Amino acid sequence: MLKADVVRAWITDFLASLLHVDPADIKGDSRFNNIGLDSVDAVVMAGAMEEHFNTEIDATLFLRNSTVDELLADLQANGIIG
Amino acid sequence: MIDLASFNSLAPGLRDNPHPVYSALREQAPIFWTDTEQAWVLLRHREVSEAFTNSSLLTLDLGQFVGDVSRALGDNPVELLRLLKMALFFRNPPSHGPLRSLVARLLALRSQASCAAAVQRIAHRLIAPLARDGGIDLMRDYADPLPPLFMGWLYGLSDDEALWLAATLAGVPVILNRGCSIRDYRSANLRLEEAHVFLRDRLAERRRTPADDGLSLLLSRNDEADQPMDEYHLAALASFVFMAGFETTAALIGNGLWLLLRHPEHCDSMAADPALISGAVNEALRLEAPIQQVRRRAMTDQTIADCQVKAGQHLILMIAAANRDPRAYPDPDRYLPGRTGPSVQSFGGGLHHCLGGWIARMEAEMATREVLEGPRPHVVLEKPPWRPLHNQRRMNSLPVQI
Repeated sequence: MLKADVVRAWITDFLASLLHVDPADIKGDSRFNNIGLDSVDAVVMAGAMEEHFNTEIDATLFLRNSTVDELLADLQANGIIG
Repeated sequence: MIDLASFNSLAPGLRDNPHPVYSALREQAPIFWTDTEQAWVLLRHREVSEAFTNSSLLTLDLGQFVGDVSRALGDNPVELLRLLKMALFFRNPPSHGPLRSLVARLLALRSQASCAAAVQRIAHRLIAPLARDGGIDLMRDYADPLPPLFMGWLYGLSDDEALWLAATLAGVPVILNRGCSIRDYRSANLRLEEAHVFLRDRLAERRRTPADDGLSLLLSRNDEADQPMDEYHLAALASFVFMAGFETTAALIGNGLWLLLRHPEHCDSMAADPALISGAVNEALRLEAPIQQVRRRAMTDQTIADCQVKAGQHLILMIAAANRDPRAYPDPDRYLPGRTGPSVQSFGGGLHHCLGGWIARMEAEMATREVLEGPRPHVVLEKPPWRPLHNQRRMNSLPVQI
């Protein structure tokens, strides 16, 4: 099981480099669509996260949540992070 | 009241039984915007059916989406992208028309009566183990193999070839679901590489020795076209039509049998009068549509049910909800074969109205009829084992016993 703070840091860095914004601007409650994430980006993020952490993560999780906090809670509910 | 802006059709609770939520939302508004899906959602029969025939709403190109995701992750799934380029329901004018007429020619190769006779022979053979062994899995051993065997007959493939092709392509249609991963794209591409080599070989055989069959017809019609496709794309088109012919039709046959066999009173009346079976198939299409939702993109600014839809915005046409709109079908959750009402939305409408809809209905009718002619099976399961997908309504297995 992955650690929540490690995953949060990875997601923040990934979004920051993908969207060319300062990591400090990506808050737990920032809405993905407000910071410029579209559904292609969401599925790319799922794939990149799978490769980085060498685990299987359903891309559905990345499409049904609107914020980093919601995504992390869903990952936790699905036993992917502890 | 449900918060409309945070509605997301991929929510885990909406997978097996989305209808209580759809029903509540449908009464709240005819159309609403959801932030989480970045799309307008349409749940009523009227708005969904009008959206299907609205030519300023374009279909979304899944090929572009898969291409963008794959490129960003360093992949190039050539055969999958070829398949999606041939997928009629993701094409808009002008490329849609010539492709659609080629597929229409293929599906019209044999008369409706000879198609029905072929399906009956296949169904008769597949159902035999039920009487002999006292049980059968109506999904795995009946609904799943029937449509590929029929498509194989149409193409001019042997039964073994058709079943091999279906087994090789199984799992590819999963990519039609939102929420697929790059993993799904990669695995689909590997399966398609194998299937497309096989189809190119069969097409090359027909090129050398034309036969009276579907693959030969594809070759000759394509040769006559203004802009003929190469044989890589022709193989991808054959693969797309084969898949479109088996995936949702197998789902429909299974869903129809599940609903009917749990209502013995209807079984008796339909066994006595097979003309009633078409009503049962229509009711299965309505209650458990194999494709639950589709997306469109607005080409122009427009007003839909008093809402301002802007050019470029997406719309979700919720087929599963439109089919249970009480404005269109009184007592909508009730299984009532033969009920009257407007046309079900399961085959879409307008430019993209399902070309093979009549074949799917005919296959499901024949399959149901063959089951009802033998000893009456009983469903073993309490609940249908739906595949864990949001957009496809299809069972994994339907074991029955006499």
